[in-house]
Parts: sequence; structure tokens; C-alpha cells
Amino acid sequence: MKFFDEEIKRKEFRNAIWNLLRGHNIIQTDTEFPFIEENHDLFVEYLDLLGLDLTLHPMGGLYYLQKDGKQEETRLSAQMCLIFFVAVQKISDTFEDGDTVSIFDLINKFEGYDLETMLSLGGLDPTQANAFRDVNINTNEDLEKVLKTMTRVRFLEKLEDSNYRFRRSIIRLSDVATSLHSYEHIPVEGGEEE
Amino acid sequence: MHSKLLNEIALRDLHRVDSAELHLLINSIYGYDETQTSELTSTLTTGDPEPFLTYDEPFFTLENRIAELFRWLSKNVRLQSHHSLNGIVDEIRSQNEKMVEALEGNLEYSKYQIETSMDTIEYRTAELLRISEENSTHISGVIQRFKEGGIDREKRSFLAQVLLSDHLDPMLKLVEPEGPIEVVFQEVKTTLERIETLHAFPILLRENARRGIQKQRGTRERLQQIHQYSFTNFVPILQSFVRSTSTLLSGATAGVRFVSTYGWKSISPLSNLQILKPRRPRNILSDSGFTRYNERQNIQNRDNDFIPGATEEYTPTLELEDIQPLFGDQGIEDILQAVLDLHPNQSLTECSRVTTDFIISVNKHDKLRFRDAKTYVRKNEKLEVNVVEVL
Repeated sequence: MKFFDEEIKRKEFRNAIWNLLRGHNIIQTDTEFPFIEENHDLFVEYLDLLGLDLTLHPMGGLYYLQKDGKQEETRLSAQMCLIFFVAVQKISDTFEDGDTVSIFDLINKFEGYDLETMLSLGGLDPTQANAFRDVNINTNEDLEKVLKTMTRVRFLEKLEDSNYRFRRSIIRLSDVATSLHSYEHIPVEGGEEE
Repeated sequence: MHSKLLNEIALRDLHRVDSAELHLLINSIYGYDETQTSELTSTLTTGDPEPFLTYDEPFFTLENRIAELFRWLSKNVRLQSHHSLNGIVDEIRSQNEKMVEALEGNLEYSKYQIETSMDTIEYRTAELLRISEENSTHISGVIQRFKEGGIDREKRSFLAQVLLSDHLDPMLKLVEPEGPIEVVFQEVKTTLERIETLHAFPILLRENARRGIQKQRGTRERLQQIHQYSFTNFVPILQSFVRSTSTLLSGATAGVRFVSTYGWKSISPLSNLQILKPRRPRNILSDSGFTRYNERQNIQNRDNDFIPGATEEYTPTLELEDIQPLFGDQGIEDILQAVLDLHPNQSLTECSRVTTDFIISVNKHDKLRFRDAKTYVRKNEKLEVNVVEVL
């Protein structure tokens, strides 16, 4: 393994490694991205020694870390997914007839969405509220806490007007939703379709 | 959407009717003349993208899938369409007209006619309210079923469209300010007020008319509430089901539904989404950090140790050797008292501690005898323990 001679590159390497270790999802617009892309093999080798996989999302433009075997932060993952799912439903409600919401609509909305208001617990329907309760989001403060964590790991970006902008990294959450698509019509209470 | 007509055909054998039956149905439901009936038949058999009815002499057959949907709707929803409500409103209007005729003196048995009409109006008004309430409940139930899944997207979209166009929209039109219910209720109110004020009628009849006015007012308000509630609550949800959905939305909807019903652990794709637990650099403790910590502790300790004007003498802690002189050939009756006497400057706690150490070091019960409890006192300290004799 060959490390960098120049101090400035060593600093960049150090910074990128720490941000990956902090669980950040690094996308093309992040400063670390080109450096990781350029030195991909070195990052992979170094992180492999720590038992971590540097993952490049199949759609490209997104790096994040994964750890084999042990699953971590599963409840947090569920909270983030649920927030994303309900946000998709709520945003879809605001669309004109005939339009359908896609991941690109979400990412390309530069002015972002007022997620704190949109997802506030008072405005949810019973199914959404039940789902939030199941992942321990019982108050608006809980919701804000998870939104803050989603911002920290770079799924979201908080704008100056307190709106949240979806980053490209939500492709990971969208993948979970897409894999559930085929279950949409399966009854949840065991009854068969009449 | 002509749901009433299509529903009637869907319930027939092989969901088909012949030409005469179709004309009869159209006439009974819409009251159309020949030209209008032909136009409607033509619309239904040449619709875009697919016609509702197919004509294969001599039968008009309803498209199989649409017939299935209507059968599902009539089996699961049990909705009374706006045609039923319109029928009831028409009957109330007709009874009111009969009362007006009676008041004008055109009927021979006016009192009897008015009583009968008032009873019918009261009964039909109650029925109107009951049907509206049941419709609202049924639509709510259907929406819940839509949310729970079990109905494929295409079918759900069609059913939502039927509910919107053939139930909610017409129902709202019925109760709007210039709508049929408002107009008829106003006419009935005027007639009943006339009856109430006419002294020619028996007091009981006038009382009934007054009660009828009150009931009508209550029913009208309640009907408006029910339909407004249905409209504002159900329409946005049904419209969302009418819209075509993306893979993302349907997946998100399935996810919310599964978590709501089975909990988040039931979603297996979640296990593929690992949000890595953050590794924090502050968890790595450097030696320099420890050094700084020690320095802080030392400074703190020095501050605490400094006691200006301390006057108490330093008294070293007692060791077993310090009480050795007590043990000669003879036994000791009260070992703690003996230690206290030997070291008058030591505290009771210190003497008790060294005595305990001694008892442990002896470690032979046959050399010790425990007696009754005794209270030992020294300065501010007090201790009540059993007297121990060394044999």
C-alpha cells in the first residue's frame, strides 16, 4: 500500500476516511468525491483492513461504507426509510393529476421541502402515524432528531430557510422502496382479494 | 359514468341485456326519449379507448372486467347511489305538493291527506339521513381497504373513479345551497308553517307540523355536515388512488403499510440498508490527553490539601503491631475497650478497624467469645457492638 508523500494529499485522505467512517454518504458534489474516485483502489485496500467495504452505488456518483456480517443502526435505518416513504406519499399528494413522483423530482427540487411541517405528527393519517410510532418517532422532536441525523450522514441538506433538500444519496432509501413495489397489492391482514 | 345502468347490467345473467331490456332500463333510470336512448346506447357501445358494451345480436354485453368491478362494488360497498336519494327527494316533493293541494282545498279529505303526507315526509327524511350516513361509512371502509392493499392498482383506480363521479360529486350537488334537497326542504318548511298557523286544523296536527319543521331543520344541517365531511375527507384520498402511481410511490406506500401492520422488522430489504454506526475520533484517547487530565487532577488535589491553620496533630493509622503489647499469656475481657485504652488519641473508628483486623487474624472461634452488646463512645463517635473476649 502506497500512501501519499504530499501533506496536502495526506490531509485530504484523512478527511475522506474520517467522513466515510462517520457514515457520511458522499456524492459527486462533495469535495471528497473526486479524491476518492481518483484513489479508489487505495481507499478500498485501506478500509478493507478495517473490515469495511467502500461501496459505489450501482447508479454511480455515490460512495458509502458497508460492514459485512454485523448489521448496525437498523432501527435508525428504519426511521430514515419511514421518513422517506411518508415524505414521498405527502409530496405525491401535492402533484397534479396524472403526474407521478420519481426520485429525480425529489433530488432536482432545489428549494427543497418543508419536511418538518409536512411530516409533523398531527398531519399524518392513521397508517402513517402507526408506522412512525413503530420506529419510535412519537413526537415532532423525535422527527427533528432523525431529520438532523439524516442531514449529518448527508441524505438531506438543510437549507437556510429550514427546508430540506434531498441529496443524490437518497437513492439508497429509494432502492428499499423500489424493492417493496411488488408487495403493494399483497393484503397485509391475510384476507384474499375478492 | 352511468354506474346505475352499468350496475344493473352487471347483475344480470352473463352480464348482458337485449335491446328491449336496455331501452327499458335507460328509460326507467334517466327517463330518456327514443333519440336520447339511441345516443346513450351509441356512446356506450363506441366508447374510447374501449367500449363499455359490446353488441352481439340480440344482446348488449357488458365488458367482462367492468362487470366484475361493479359486482365487487355492489358486494363490498353496499352504497346507495344518488339515484336512490334523488328518488326519496322526489317523493318528499310529491308529498309536499299533495299537502299544498289539500291546503288549497282541492282534496276532499284534506286532514287525512296532510297527516299521511307528513308521516311519509318524516319517514323519508329519516331514510335520507340514514342512507347518507351509511354511504359515508361505506366509503370510509372502502378507502381503508384500498389502503390495506389486496386490490390491484388498475381496479382500485377504476373503483375510486366510480366513487368520485357517481357518489361523492352527485351527493354534494344534492345538498348544495340551490340543490334539490335544499329546495324541497324549503318548500316543505313553508307548507308546514302554513299548517301550523291554520287554526282550522286540530291542535295535534299543528303540533306535528311544528315538530316536523324542527326535524327538517336538524336533518338538513346533519345532511350538509355528512356530505361536506365526505367530500372534504374522501375526495383527496380517492383522487390519489385515481392517479397512476410510480414505482417509488407504490413501494413507499407498501413500506408504510407493512410497518404500520407488522412492524419495521418485517421489511426484509431494510437489512440490506446498513447505516454505518459513526466511528468518532473522540473515542480515541491520546496519551497527551491523559497527561493533561493528570495535571488537572494534581492542581485540584493541591488546592484541596491546603488547610490553613490546621491544628490537629497528625496521628498515624493503627496496625496490628500497635496493639501487640495487649496480648500476653492472659486473656482479655473486652478487646475493643483494651485497644481504646491503649490508644487514647486514636478515633473510635480507627480502634474498631484495627480490632476487627485482629479478630480476623485470629481466625479461630475457640479463642474468641462473643458477649452482649455494649456501647462505646469517643469524642463525637458512638458504636454499639458485641463485646469480644479473647481467651
